[in-house]
Amino acid sequence: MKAWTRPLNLFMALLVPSILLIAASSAAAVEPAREFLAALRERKYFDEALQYLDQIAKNPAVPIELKESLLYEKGVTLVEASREQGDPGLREKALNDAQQLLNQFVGQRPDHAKANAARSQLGNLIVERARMKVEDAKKTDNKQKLLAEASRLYEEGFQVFKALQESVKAQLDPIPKVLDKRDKQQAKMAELRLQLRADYLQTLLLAAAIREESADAVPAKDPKHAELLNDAATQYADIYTKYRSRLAGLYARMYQGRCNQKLGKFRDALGYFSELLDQPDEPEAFRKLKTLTMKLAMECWLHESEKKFMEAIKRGSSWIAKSRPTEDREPDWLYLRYVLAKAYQMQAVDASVKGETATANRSRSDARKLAQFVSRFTSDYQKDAQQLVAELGGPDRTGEKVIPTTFAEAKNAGKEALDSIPPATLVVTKIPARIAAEKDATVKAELQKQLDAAKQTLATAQDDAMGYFRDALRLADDDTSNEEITVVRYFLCYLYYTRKDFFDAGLMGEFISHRYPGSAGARPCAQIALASYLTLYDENQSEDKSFEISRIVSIAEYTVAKWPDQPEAADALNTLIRFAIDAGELDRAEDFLAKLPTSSSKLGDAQLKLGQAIWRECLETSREIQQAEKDGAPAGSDPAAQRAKLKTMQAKAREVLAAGFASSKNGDKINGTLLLAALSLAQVYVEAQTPEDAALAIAVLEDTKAGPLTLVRAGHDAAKSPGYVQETFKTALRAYILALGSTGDADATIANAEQVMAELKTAMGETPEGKARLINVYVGLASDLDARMAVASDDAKESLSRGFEAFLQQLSNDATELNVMNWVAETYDRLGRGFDTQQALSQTANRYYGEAAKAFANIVNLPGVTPELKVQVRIRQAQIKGRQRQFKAAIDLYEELLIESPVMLNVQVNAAKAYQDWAAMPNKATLYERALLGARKSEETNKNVIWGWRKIGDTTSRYPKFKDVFHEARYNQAVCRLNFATSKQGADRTKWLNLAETEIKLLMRLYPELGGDKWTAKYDDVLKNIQTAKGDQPLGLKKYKADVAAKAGG
Amino acid sequence: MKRLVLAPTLCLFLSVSTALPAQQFDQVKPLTGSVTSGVITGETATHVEIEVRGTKREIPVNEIQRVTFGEDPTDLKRGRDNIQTGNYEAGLDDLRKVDPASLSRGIIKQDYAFYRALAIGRLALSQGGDKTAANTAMMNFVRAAPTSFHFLEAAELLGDLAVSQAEYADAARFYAAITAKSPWSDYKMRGGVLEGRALIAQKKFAEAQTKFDGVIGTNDDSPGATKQKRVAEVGKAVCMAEQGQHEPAIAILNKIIAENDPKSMDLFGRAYNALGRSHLKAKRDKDALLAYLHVDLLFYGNPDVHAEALYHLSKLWNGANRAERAVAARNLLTTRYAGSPWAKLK
Repeated sequence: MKAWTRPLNLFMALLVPSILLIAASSAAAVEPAREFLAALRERKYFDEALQYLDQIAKNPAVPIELKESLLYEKGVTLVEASREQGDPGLREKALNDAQQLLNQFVGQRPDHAKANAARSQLGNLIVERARMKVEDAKKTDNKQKLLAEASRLYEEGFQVFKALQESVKAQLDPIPKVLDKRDKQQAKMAELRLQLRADYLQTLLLAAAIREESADAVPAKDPKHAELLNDAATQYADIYTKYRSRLAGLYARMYQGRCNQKLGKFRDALGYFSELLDQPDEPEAFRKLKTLTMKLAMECWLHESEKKFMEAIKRGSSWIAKSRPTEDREPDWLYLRYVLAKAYQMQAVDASVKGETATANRSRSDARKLAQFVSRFTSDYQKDAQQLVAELGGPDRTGEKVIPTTFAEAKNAGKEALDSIPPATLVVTKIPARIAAEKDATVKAELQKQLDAAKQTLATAQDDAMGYFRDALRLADDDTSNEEITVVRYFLCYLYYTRKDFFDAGLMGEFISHRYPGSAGARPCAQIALASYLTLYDENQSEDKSFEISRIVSIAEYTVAKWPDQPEAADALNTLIRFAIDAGELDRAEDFLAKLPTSSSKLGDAQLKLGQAIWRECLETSREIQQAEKDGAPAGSDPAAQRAKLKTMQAKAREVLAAGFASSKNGDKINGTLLLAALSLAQVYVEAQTPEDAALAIAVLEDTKAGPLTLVRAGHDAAKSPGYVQETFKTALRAYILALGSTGDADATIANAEQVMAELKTAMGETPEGKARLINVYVGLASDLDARMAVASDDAKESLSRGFEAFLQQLSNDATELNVMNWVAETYDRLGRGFDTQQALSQTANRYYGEAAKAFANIVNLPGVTPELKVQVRIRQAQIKGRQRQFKAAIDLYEELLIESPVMLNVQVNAAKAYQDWAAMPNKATLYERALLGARKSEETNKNVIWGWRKIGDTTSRYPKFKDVFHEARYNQAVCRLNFATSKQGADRTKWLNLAETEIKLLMRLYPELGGDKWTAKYDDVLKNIQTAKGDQPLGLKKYKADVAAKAGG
Repeated sequence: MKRLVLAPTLCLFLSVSTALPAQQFDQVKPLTGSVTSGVITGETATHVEIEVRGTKREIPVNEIQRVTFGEDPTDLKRGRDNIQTGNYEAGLDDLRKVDPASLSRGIIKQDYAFYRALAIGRLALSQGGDKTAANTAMMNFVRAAPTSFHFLEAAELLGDLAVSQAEYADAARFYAAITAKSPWSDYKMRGGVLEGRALIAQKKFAEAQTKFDGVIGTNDDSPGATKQKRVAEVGKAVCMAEQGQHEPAIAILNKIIAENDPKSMDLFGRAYNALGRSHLKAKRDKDALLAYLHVDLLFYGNPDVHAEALYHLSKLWNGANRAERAVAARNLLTTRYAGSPWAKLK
C-alpha cells in the first residue's frame, strides 16, 4: 500500500484545521504558527518543526493557545517523525518519547482544548505500533504471529477511540444547544463546544480509519478482511450522513468509496466518487479533495473489471488541464498523469483491436507523452512510468539532432538523451518476447519497428549524451552557476562509468565529491568513484594493488565523514570493513562496523564477515597457546595475557556473529558468508562448553532458514563442500553432547546425536583416512563429555552418561585401534566410578563396570597385543572386578598374574588393596589381616603369593625409587589396623589401636620426613582418627613431634 | 491587472437589462459588487468608459478585476483567464490559437497584445525566457496603445524586467510613470515601493530607505495606502538590516507579522524574506532558515519572493548538513524560476 492510500496517514495529514473546523478560519494578526508547523510536518521537516516549537515559547507573535499546547505539538511531531524513521530502535524511541510528552500534556492540562486530541494521539500510538508489526510481517517468516499482534493492537486502538468518543460526547451533552455569544461566559462555552464537536468528529473518523487499515493485517481471502472494510464503510457512511455539509463529511464519503473500491465494488465506489467530483473546485480544500478523489476514481475506471478508459480519459484529462504550473511535479498530479497515460494505453489497445489505426496511434502517442513526462521526475511512479514508456515503444527521439548554442540547451539535450536510455533498455529487454509470441503480422511489424528504434536509441543515446554534456561544459560562461556545471560533470562521470572508463569515472567522481560536496551530484559521484576503484581493484591481476586500495579507502573514508547518515556511507563503511579485515586491522574494522546504522541492509553481512575474521583470529591464537603449552612459551611472550586476549576475542566474535546471524538469517539470499559465519557462531557457542550455550548452538545449526545443519541436510548448493558438511556434523554432534544435562528432552537430544553420528560416518567415508578422522572426532567428543561429567550435577549426570554411552557404543563398534579401545574401556570405568558412592553398588555403576570389563576383554583378544600390555589389561580387569565387589574374582586374577611373575609390585599393591576393600564390606573385617599380612600360599614355595601391605612395605623400604609405594604400604597398614580395631571390642580393640599408633610413631622415628607433605598429611589424618578412637585428644602428629625432635637432638 | 489591484472599493451598479444575452456585451467585473455589462466606449490609463443602456459610466482601473468583450473568441477568453490566474504557459497556448486579424475591434486587439506580452514577460521573469523579447513585446503594446487601461500594469512589468536585467535607470523611469500617471495615492505609494526595491537591488540601501520612509509617511490611511505602508516598512527593515541595524529591523518585521493578516501572502512572504535576511546579517542561520521556510511552505505565491527564499534555503540547508534539501531547493529555483535573478546567483 502506498503511503497516500494508508487511511490513517492520509487522514492525519489532513487533520483538524482543514477539514474538521473549516468554518473556524485562522484568526488574523498573529504569526501563522499553526499553519507553519503543519507545513513543516507535511514536508517531513520534523527536526525543524521541533526546533520551531522550542523557539516559539519566546515569540510574542505566536498565539498563546499554541504555547499552551507545546507538549502536545511536540508529541504529535514525534509520532509523525517516527513514521519516517527506518531504524526500528529509533522509531520505537520516537514513539516512546511522544507517548511521554502526550501523557505529560494530558496529565498537566486535562481540560485543555487539545486534551482530547492528545488522548486520540495516544490511541494513534497504538495504531502506529500495529502498523510497525504489519511492516515487520512483510520481512519475516513469522508473518502470521506478527499480523495477529497487529490485529490485536488495531482492535485496542479502535477501542481507545470508541471510549474517547463516549467521553467527548459526555463532555458535549451538558452544553446547552442555544448559546448567546454576546455573553462572555456563553461565548467561551460556544468555543469549547466547537472544539469538542471537532474532537468528536475526529474520533469518529479515526475509529473508522482504524477499521479500514486493520484490514491490512488480515489476508484478503479471510472473510474478516471484508467484514472490517464493510464495517469501516458503514462508519464512514454514518459520518457523511451527519456531517455532509462539512468538508470532513465529504472526506468520509471519499473514504467510504475507497472501502468499496478495496472490496471490489467499483460501481458503488464510483457512485460516491462522482458525487464528490461534482462539487465545486473552490475553496482550495475542495480542490485537494477532488484531486484525491480523482486518483481513486481513475483507478476504478481502469480496473480490469470496468475498463472505462473513455470516462477516465474524459474526466482525468479535464482535471489535469486545471493543474497549475507549480503542481506539475507534485506526487498527486504525477500519479494522475500516470494513470491517464494508462487510460490512453488501454484506448490504444482497444482501437487496435477494432482496426481504428488513427485512434490507436493518437492514443499511444498521448500515453507516451504523459508517461515520458512522469518518467522525468523523481517520484514513486517514476519507474512505472519508465516501464510504460517502454511498453509504448520507448522514448520518442525522432527528429533532427539539436545543435546547442548555449550551456542550457546542451545540458537539456544531454539530459534528454540520457533519459531515453532506461525506457529504451526496457524495450530491448521486453519486446523480443512479445514479438515472438505475437501472431498478428501488423502488430508484429509495429513491435519490430519499436525494437529497432529502441536499439538505435541505445546505440546513439550514450554517445549523444556524452557529446552534449561536453558541449555544455564548453558553452558554460560566467553566468553559468557552479551548481549547473557540477550537474553536467556528474552526468559525465556517470557516463564514463557506464562506458566502463573506470579510471576516468573514479577521478571525475572524486573531484566532484571533494570539490563540491554540497552539490546534487556529490554523493552519487563519490559512490561512482568508489564503485569504479573497486572494479579496477578486481580487474588488477598484478600483485601490487596499492593504488586501487589507497583510492578505495580514501573515497570511502571521505564518504563516511561527509555524509554519515546517508545510504552511501553504509556502502562505504561496508567496503572499509572488507579492506580493514583483509589488512588484518580488526579493531579498525570494528570501529567502522560501529558506525554502520542499525537500519543498514549492509549491517548483517558486515557483522558476519568481521565476526568470521575475529573467529579465525581466535583459532590462530588458540593454536599458538597450545603450541606454547607444548613447547614452552617463546621468549618475551606472556601466556596469561594471551589467554586473556583470546577470551576477549571469543566474546567479541560471539557478539558480532550472533548479531550478524540475527540480522541476515531472514534475508533473501543464503550465501557463503552467511553459511560460514553461522557455522562459526555455532562453534563459538560450543566452545563455551555449557548446556545453555549448546542450546544456542543447536538453535543456530537447526535454524529453518539459514541453519548449517538444515542446509547441509537439504543439499543446499552453498553447503555442499565436504569440509563444510563434516564440520557441520562435528559441531552439531558436540552441541548435542553438551546439551545433554540441560533441562531439555534428553531422549530427543540423544536421538539427534545418533542421527548426526550416522550422517557424519557417511560423510567421512569408508577410506582408512576417513575412519581415522571419524575416530579422532569421537575421541574428542568423548573427552568433552568426560569434562562435563566431572562438573555435572547428579541430575545432569544421568542424561550425560546416557549420551556418553551412545558414543562409547559407537566407538566400540567402529574402533579397531588399541588406544581408542583402551580409552573406551577406561571411560566406562570412569563412568562407573561417577555413579559409585562406595556404599552399596548401584545398578548404573555396575552396568558401566560391566561395559568396561567387556571393553578390556576385547583388547585382550586383539591380535598383536604385546604380553606386557596384556598384563596391564588383566590388571585393569581385576580392578574392575573389585569395583563390582567381586573381590574373590579380582584376587583370583591377581593371583594368576602373581604366580606368573611374583614381583610385579603394582599387582601386589592392587591385590592388597582388593583385600582391604573386601575387608571393608560388612562382616569381613578379618580380611584386614590378609590385607596386612598377605594370602594365597603357594604350594610350591609355601609363601603367600599375595604379599599384603607389610611385605610390600618391607620390600620397598630399601629402594628410594619405590618411596611412594613404601609409604602407601605403611599408611595402609595403619589404616587396616585402625579399621580392624574398630570392628573389635575391649582389649582387642585397644591392642589393635595401639598397634596402629605404634606403627606411625615408629615410622616417625625412622623417617622423620614421613615421605613428604602428601604422606605426612595422610599419616596425620589417620593418627587423629586413632587418637579419637582411643579417647585421646586428636592432636595427630603434633603429639609426637616434640619427642621426636628431642630424641633426634639428644 | 491582478498585480495592481489595490483597495477594493464598494461600487454598486444597477443590474443591466437582459434584453440581449449578457455574454454579447462587454463586461467589467469589479473587485466587489456586480458585473457591469454594456459597450466599452473609451479607455485611459486610469479609467474604462462603458455605455450601459445609453448612459456612459467611468470605472476606475483600481476597482476593476476583469474586463471581457462581447466578441471575445473562446480561446482569447480562456487565455486571459489562464494568464490572470498565473497559468502563463497555458494562457499563451490559448492565445496562439487566436488569429489577431480576426479580432473585430481595436480594443480587443490591444487586449490580446497586452495579455500576450504580459504572459511572455511574466514567464521570462519566473520560469525563464527571452527578457529582451518580452520587453519588446510590452513596449510595442505601450507604443500602440498609450491610453490603454492596462498602462499601469504594463509599466510595472517593464520596470520589473528592467530590474531583472540590472537596468535600474529604465526601471526607475517605468516605476515613476506609475507614480506620475495614477491619481490614487495608494498607486503612487506602490510606485515608490517599486522604486525602493530597485534601489535595494542596486545595494543603495540608504536611498532606498528614504524612498520607503516617504511611502510610510504618506498622509493616507485608506486600506490600500495602509497596505503599501506595510510593504514599505518591510523594505525599510531590509535597508536597516543591510546597514547593520538588524535587531531593530527584526523588531519591525516581527511587529508586522504579529499585527497583520497572514492572508496577505505577498506581504508575509516579503516580511519573512526580510526576516531571514536580517537573521543572516545577525549570523543566526537557524533562525534565518526557519524564516525562509515560512515562505517556501506558506507564502510562495509570488514567484520573486519564493525564488529569493529558495536561493537562501539552498545555501542554508547545506550549512545545516541537509544536502538533499539544498539540492531540492536549488533545483526548484532553477527549474521553476529560471528567469529570476535569484536563479542566476551562485
